[in-house]
Amino acid sequence: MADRNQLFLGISGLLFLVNLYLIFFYAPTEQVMGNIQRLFYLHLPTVWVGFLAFFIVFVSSIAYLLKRDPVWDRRAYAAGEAGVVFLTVAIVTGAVWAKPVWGVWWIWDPKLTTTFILWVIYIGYMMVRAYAPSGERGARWAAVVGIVGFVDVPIVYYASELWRSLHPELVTGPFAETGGLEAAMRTTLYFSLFAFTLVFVYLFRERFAQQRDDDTLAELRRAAG
Amino acid sequence: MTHGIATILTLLTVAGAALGAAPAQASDSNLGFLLAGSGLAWAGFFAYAFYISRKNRETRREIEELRDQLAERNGDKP
Repeated sequence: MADRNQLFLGISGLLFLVNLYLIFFYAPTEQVMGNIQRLFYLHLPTVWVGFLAFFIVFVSSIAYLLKRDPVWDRRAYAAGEAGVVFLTVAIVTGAVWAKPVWGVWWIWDPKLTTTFILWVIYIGYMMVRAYAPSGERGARWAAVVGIVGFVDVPIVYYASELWRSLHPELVTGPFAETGGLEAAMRTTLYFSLFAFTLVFVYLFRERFAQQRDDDTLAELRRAAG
Repeated sequence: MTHGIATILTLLTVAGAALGAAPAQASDSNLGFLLAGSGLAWAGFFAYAFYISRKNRETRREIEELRDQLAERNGDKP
């Protein structure tokens, strides 16, 4: 598994070289915002991958509660942690983008607020596991948080449609307005989405393998006394 | 390997932002924000990948040590 993950890392690295070329050389400069708009190709894919990660948490948590198989719990935990990292990067890149465009780092706009709530929910998810009295109870409680917390994902996605928002409207997904992006911009965005998804797969697999090793270590420690 | 690739990508991102975006709009005062944003994004992923790979290495080393200890105790090793 370690070798295959190294291969994943190598492929992700190569794709990212292409991605960097697309972001900084191929994609045209946006006319209104200028170069800062290039952050879009980092910002949106990280949000998307964050949503994907939380969906994996949601599905794995349901599976864990039904089967009580620790493999599902490990999957949920690995995805949840990577999801928090991706969402944190999305929030940071969003703030850096907002400052020159909106004049402020942060506003309590519906999209930003619901995203912040999502981030807090999954920070809570990690904390529940860390502070639970036992591993099994922590896994069970975290599974409940992972299922309930996922409700916020569609709210974040539709926030700019549901309420008046400064945040731009949807550019990807079922309710997105098509034709909003120039062809070169769209190509760059989709490539970036693919590259970030591969990075997520790599991080997820590494974290999952590490948790399995943690369990092996705990067993060996018990055996060693 | 993880660290090497992540470092190269971080440096290339910042260099790409500087080289690719600068000629397009030399007077663009937002270039600093672009560099900061892309640099921070990569620093975040780098830090996380570094954290995981270091933890993995430590855990695997500890597993090997414990296995050796147990094998010695059980008389599997001379």
